Amino acid sequence: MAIETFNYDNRIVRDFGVATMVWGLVGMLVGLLAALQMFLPELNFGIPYTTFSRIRPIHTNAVIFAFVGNAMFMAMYYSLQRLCKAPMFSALLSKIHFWGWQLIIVAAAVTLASGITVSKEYAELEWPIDIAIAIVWIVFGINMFGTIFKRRERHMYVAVWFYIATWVTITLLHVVNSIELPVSFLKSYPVYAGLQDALVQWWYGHNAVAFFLTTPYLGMMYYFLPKAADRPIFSYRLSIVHFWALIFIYIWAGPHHLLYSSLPDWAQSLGTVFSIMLIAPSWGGMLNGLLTLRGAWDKLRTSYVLKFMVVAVTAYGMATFEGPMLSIKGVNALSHFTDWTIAHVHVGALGWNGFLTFGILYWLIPRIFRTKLYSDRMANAHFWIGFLGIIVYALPLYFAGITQGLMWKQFTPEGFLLYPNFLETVIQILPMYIIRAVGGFMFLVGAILCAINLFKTMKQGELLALEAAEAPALEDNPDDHVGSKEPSQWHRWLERKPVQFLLLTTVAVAIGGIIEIVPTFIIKSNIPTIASVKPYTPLELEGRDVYVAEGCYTCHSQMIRPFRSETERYGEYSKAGEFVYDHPFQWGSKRTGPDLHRIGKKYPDAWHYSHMMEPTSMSPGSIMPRYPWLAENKIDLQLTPAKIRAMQTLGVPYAEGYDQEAVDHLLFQARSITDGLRNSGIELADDAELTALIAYLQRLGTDIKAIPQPTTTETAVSDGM
Amino acid sequence: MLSQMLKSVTGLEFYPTVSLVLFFAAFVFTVVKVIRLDRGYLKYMKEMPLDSNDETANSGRFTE
Repeated sequence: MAIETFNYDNRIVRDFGVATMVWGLVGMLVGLLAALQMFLPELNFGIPYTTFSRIRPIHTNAVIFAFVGNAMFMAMYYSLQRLCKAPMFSALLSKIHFWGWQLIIVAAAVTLASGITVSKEYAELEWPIDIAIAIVWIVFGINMFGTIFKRRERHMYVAVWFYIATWVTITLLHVVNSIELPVSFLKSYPVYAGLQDALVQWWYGHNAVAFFLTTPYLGMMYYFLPKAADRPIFSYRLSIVHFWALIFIYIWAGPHHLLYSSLPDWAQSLGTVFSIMLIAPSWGGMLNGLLTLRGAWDKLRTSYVLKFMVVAVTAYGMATFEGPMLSIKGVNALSHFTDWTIAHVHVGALGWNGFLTFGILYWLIPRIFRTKLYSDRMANAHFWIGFLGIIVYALPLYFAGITQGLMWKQFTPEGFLLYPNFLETVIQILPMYIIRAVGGFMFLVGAILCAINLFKTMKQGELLALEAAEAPALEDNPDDHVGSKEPSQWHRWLERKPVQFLLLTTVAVAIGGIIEIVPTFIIKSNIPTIASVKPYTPLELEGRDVYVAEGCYTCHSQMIRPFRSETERYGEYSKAGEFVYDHPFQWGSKRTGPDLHRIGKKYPDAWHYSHMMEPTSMSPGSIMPRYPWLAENKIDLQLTPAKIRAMQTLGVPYAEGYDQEAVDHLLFQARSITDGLRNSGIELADDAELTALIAYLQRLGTDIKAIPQPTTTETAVSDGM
Repeated sequence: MLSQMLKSVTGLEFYPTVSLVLFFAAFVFTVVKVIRLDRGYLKYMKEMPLDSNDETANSGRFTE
């Protein structure tokens, strides 16, 4: 048999590794700034670009797509070459992938800071960037499959399956969730509206967690944990079962983000059932990781790499147990919209993704730089400060979430809300926000130590850019195929066939995807229409775009759940039919401030003006940042007709030719608002962003009041607690 | 058209049942096949990450 020699490309591994550390620090630093603003809102420095509602998406995108994304590519490029016994398919594609991804990250940071956003969580980027992501992702796919096709190892190891599943599913998710109708170069509207948009978004959001934060990392665990422990994985059988079960089930669980919302009940129940079933395959992966160390736990005393990895896998186990628990309706009734969710995701992000990334970096960088780690002590210090940081971060937020959730639902013996002022429940948990920021700071300090340590390691070593290797050529040996004809060797056959594997993986995720998505498309007909719900006026539409651009949804929901505690506080619970013109939906996922779905007509225009200029003037103690620039910035009236036309294309029933009258109508309505404000001694321009925002806020949730409604006490269900 | 077809079906209540049945069929199939896998093959697969020659160039130079 001919032995072939070839070179592994370590440069691309190094590049992605450096990007991981750089963007990791940026993402965590922005996260820390956001955490500080939760109790010191003036730390936005009085400018829009650094205000919480804009940096929160920067933080999430940076951590998910820049830190975890680059780490995933680093680990894939390292392990795929070695598992395939082949260099990457194309060094040029590797380069395009790397630089394309970094450019996308920069574009994301710049646009999000500028308020250019679609507002769909973790998919906020505008359409040109979405297209760029699709192109770079396909480049990555060609490179990955090209490498798999010219491999010298007939069988694909379990890590490679996870990489394939990642690529297939992210492609599917990104395309379906990003279908938008462009209005201008940097403005678009999602084609879906309201409930439909919410379902697609959370189908995406949930599975982005599954297939961007979980499956690639499980693949990495399956490769690097055995490496670091120098022992094979505990059970290969278990890995097969848990792989197929995981990718099959995960995709169904999206509706658990929409419990007690206007989503049909059966879809909510489906989400809950599959979420609970998810514990089994998730724990299959965790146990397979941890049991790999059976009989070798003593290695943890000396190996900081293993320490990071064991904490990561344990955090994965904890988060994947907690997730299903949070999707039980009774628990969700308390946890949803609170900091409990934030604590939950950070156990995953800091523990699972963060610590596995650090563990792999500490293992990998010295190897490709042919040296020892610069400082073992620094790595150990990083482990402990990071580990304690996770605890100091998460615990206070659990406390804050449960406390606030309970306070929202607390009634007096007479049947009134005990804490009718939302702000009371915020002030109660401010100390927890302070402790959380300390935890985040500790984690960041650890990451800085890591960056210094790795930088020094790179400096003292020398990159082995092209690592020589050799392996026998993969010959088409007819004897090898015998297995495929034996029924018991089914998976063995599959592992040799990347295309078949790809197709079967696609089928597995598509079954869940279709079953969840098809109702989404026919749901339009299932939404009970409400005759009095009318399209937004041009001014309100512009105001809505301001609401979206400023990221108000990061702190305010527009979804009143059918609980007495919510209908008492906010008003009539939200109906699916009220959102039919909402491109995109603005239900939100967290209430740092109160729900806004019934804010319309609750306060006079002057209240809103003063509140946006100085929130504490209307709500003493408020932690909302000031938005004075909204009074200065002007809406672009040139774009208004195009927006109306776009809405018409999307099915919003504006009259034919209304786009030509829209600006006149807009100014007419604006004048009525600014005239009213002038009577209160407030000067505001007709075309100021704030004028439009006030118009939008005053419209919110008011349509339904035009028709007789059953009283809230008759319609609200019990709190489920 | 797909949505037209689905609309003609009364309700979507069969969905959860179908999904559960599908899942369990696939799950049982996989488990049965996996149990019957050859031991030698499993050992070969398990040792694949440890087997590759990526450290030959610099083995013995690490503390980890």
